[in-house]
Amino acid sequence: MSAGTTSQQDKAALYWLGERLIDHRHPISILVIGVTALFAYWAFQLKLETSFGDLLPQTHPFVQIHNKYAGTFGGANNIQLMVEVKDGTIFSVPTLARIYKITEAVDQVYGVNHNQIDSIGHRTTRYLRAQSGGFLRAEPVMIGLPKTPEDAANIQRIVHNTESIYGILVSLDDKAALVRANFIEGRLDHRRTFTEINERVIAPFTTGWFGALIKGKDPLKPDQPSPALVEQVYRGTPAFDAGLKPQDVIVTANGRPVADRAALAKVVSAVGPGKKVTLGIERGKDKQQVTADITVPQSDIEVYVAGEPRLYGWVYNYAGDVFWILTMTYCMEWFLRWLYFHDWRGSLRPTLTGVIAAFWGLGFIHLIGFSLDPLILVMPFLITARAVSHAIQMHDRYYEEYERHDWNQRKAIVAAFAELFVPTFSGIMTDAFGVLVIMLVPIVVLRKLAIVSAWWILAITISEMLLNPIVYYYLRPPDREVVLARDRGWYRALINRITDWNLSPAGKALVTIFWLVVTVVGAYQMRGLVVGDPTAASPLVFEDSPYNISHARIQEKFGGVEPLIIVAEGHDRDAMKDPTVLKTMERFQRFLERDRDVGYSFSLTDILRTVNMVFHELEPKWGVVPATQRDVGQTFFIFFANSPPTETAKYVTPDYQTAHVTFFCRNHKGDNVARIIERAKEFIAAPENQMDKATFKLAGGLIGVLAAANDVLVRNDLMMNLLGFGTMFMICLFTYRSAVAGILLLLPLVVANIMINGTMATMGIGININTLPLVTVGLGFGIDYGLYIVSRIIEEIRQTGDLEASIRTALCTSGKAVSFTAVCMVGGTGLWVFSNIRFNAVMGGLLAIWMLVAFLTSETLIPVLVSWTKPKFIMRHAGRYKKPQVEPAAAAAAAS
Amino acid sequence: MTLMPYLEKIGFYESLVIIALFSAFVIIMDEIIHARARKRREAKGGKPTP
Repeated sequence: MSAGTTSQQDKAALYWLGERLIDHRHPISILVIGVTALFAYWAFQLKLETSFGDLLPQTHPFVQIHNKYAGTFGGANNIQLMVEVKDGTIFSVPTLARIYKITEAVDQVYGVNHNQIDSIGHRTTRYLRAQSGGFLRAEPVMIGLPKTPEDAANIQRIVHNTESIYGILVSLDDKAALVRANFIEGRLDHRRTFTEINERVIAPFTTGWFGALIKGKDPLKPDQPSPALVEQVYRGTPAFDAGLKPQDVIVTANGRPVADRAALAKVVSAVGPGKKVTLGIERGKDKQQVTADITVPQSDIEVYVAGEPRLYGWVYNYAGDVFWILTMTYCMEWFLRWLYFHDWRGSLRPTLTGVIAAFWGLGFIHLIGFSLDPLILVMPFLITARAVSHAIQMHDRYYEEYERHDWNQRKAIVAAFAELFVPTFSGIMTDAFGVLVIMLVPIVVLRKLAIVSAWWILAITISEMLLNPIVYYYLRPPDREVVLARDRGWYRALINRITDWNLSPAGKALVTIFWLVVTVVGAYQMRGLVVGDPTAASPLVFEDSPYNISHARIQEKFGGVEPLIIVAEGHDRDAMKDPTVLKTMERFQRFLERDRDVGYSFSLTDILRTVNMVFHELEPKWGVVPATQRDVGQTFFIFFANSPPTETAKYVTPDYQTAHVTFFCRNHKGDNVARIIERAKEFIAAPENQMDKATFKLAGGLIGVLAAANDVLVRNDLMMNLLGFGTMFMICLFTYRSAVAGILLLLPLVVANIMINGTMATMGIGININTLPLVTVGLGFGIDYGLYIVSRIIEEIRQTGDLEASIRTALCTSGKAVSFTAVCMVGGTGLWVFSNIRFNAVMGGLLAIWMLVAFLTSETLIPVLVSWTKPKFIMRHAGRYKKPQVEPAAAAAAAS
Repeated sequence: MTLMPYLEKIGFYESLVIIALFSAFVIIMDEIIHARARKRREAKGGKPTP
C-alpha cells in the first residue's frame, strides 16, 4: 500500500505538481475551458464525408495511372443500375420508355460524368446502321421514346445484332437492361447521390409508377420548376383506366401539392400498392380542374443499384445509428459507474474526461481539414472509452487515498494523482505512439487518422491528468460510507475469490495452459487471414441488405460489373490504329477472360470487329481486326464520324494514341484481385506480347485501385505490427528500466492480437483500408491494464517485501478497478454490434472482444508470470519502505 | 428488438436531450438516496458525514 509518506519520497516531484495544480486551479481551469470551447466550436462544424482520393495510395503506380485516365476512360466510382421486368421482356413500349427515362434521370444525378454513361437509352450507345446507297451510320440505339410495338421490336432487333450491347447492356434472356454511369471523383457527394437516385431515378418508375410517363426536369434548366406533366399514358394501366390524358398537369396527390415528378412519386410510393390515390389535375389551356382516382399498382419492374457510390450512400444512410448508440452507451455507462462508485461524482468525472478529450479530438479533425468517415465512427467511441477507463482508475484510487489519508480531501487528491501518474502517462503514451505507426502506410486517410488519433489520445493527458486534481477539488468529497461501501460489496468479494483461485497452484497452471491453447488455436486460425475483401458481397453492409441483394442480382444477370481498366498507352499519335497493337489487345481480352472471375471484357477491337463485319454484309468471317493501319483508320471513321470527341474519348483518346482494355470482374475478393492482376502482369511480360507502338499500363477501375491498396497493405501490415509493438516495448522499457517488463506487458497484447486476427479470419473479415486503422488503434489498447497492475505490485512490494501478497493486493485494488474499466470499455464499443452498418457492427464487436481478452490476460496471465519469474524490475523494490500495514477493508471493518 | 425502430429515430439533438435528462436523473436520485441514508444514520445517533 502506498502510505503517502513513504511513497512521497520517491515521487516528491509528482506530489509537488499535484499541489501546484490545486493551488493554481482557477487560471488552469479557465485556460482549459477556453481552449476546449474553441475545439468544441470546431467540432460542431465537423462533417461526415468520404474523400475517395484519400483512400488510395497516391504514390502507387496503379493509382497514378488511374488518376491520369479516370476522367477519360472511367474511374472506380461507377454505379450499375439494372432494370428487370417481372414478366415478359424489356422490349415493350412502357418498359423501354421507362429505361429511356431512367437513363435520362441518371444523367441528371449530381456528379455523373455525362459522357461516361452506358445504356441502350443513352445517346453514346450506338449501333451501325446500313442505309440505302451503301452508307453506314453509327446511330444511338434509342433516339427518343418508343411509341409503338414496332418501335420496341426494332430496338430488340438492334440489340440482338450488336455484339457490344447484347449480353453487356441487355441480358441474354431479354429480361434486364443495365445502365452504367461513372462519377467525377471530385464531385462525389454520397448522401446527395443516394437521395437523388432514390427519389428521381427509382421511385417514379417503380413504386411511384401508375402507368403514365411524367415529364422530368429539363436538363438544360435544372433550376426552373417542372410541374408533373403527363407525357404519355399507356393502355391497360391504372392511369389509362382513370382517364388521364397527355398534357395533363398533376398538381396534387391526396390533397398534397406536388411540385414535380419526384414529389408525385414520393406520395404515390407512400400510399403503397392496392390503395387509392386521388390526383388533382389541371387539364387543357383553360386549366380545367379535374380529379382522378388511381389504384396504385404493384410495380412490374425491379430496379437494382450497385457500385461504390451507392454502397457508400447506404453507409451514410445508416450512419445515424451513431446517435442511438451514443445515447445508449452513455446512459448504460453512467448507470454502471454509479453502481460501482455509489456516487454520481463517479459517473460525472470520467464523463468530463471523455467529453473534453472528444472535443479536442473532433475539433482537431476539423482544424486539419479532415472529415469523419462513417466507417471509422467506432474509433471515437474506442478512444473515449480509453479516456473514461483512465478516469475510472483515477477515481477509484482517489476513494482509496481518501480513506487512507483520514478523509483529507486535498491529500487524497494529490496522492491519487502522484501514485497513478506513471501508469496513466505510460498508458497514454503507448496508445498514442502505437497509433502513430499507421503513418507508415502511404494512404492519406490513414495518415490523417494516425495524426488525429494520436492527438486525441494525447488530449487525455489534459482532460485526465492536468484537470483531474482540480475537478476533484471543486467537487464535494464523497460520503465516508460511500467510500467504504466499495470494499464491502459482492463485486469486491467476487474479485477476492477469483484472485485467490488465480494465485493458487492449480489456478496458475490452468491459466497458463488456457492462454497457451488460445494462442496456438488463434495462430492456426490466422492462416486464413486475407488482405482485401474475403467475400464477393460487400463486407460494409449485411449480406441481406438491399445493396448486397442488388449487387448479387446484377452480377447474376450480367456476369461481372466491377471494372479493371488496363490502359494501352501509345508511344505516339495513331498508335491505336496499328493492327499489331489492336490484335495484342484482343489476345489480352481472350487471355484474361479465361479467369473464372472475369465476366467479360471490352476494348476498341470489339467496335472494330463489329463495324468490319457490318461493312462486309454481316459475314462472320469479317468479324476481325482489319489487317492494315489504313483499313483500321477507315473503320474507325465509319463508326466515330458522327460522334463528338467527348463521346469517343471513353474508347480512345482523340489523337488515337491511347485506349484501354476493360475487364468486368465478378467480384473484388482480395485473392481474386491479386490473381487477376498477376495474370495480367504475366500476359504483359510475355515476349510475344511486346508492342513497338504501345505499352500496357496497370491499372484503373475499382479492381485496379483495390489491387493497389491491397498491395500497399500487404507490404506494410507486418511492419506496422512490429513497429507498433516495438514502440510500446520502448515505452515500457523506459518506464520500468527493464526489458523483461516490456516483454511481460506486451505478452497479453500479443495473445489478444493473435486471437483477434484468428477471429477475423474465422469470421471472414479481411485486412483492408477500413479494418487496418481500427485494428492498429486497438493494438496498444489494453496495455494500461497491465501497467496499472504491475505498478501497483511494485508499490506494494516496496512496503511488504512479499511478492505473493503484493500481487494479491494489486489484483484486489487496481485489478478490481481494471476489471470495471474493462466492463466499461467492452460496453463502450460493444453496442456497435447492433449497427446497421455491418462493418461497424463487426469491428465494434471485435474490438469489444479484444478489450476483454486484453483485460483477461492482464488480470490472469501477468500475475501468474510475475509470480513464477519473480522479475528483477519488481523484486529490486522489495521491502524498501517496509512497515506494518493494514488493508483498508480490514481497517474499515475494525473501525465499524 | 422491438425498441430498435424507436432508437433508430434518435438524432443528434434528441441524443443530447436524453443524455442531459438521464444525467440529471442519476444525480437527483443519488442525492435523494444519500440524503435519506444520512438522515437514517443521524436518527440512529451516528455522526453526520463530513
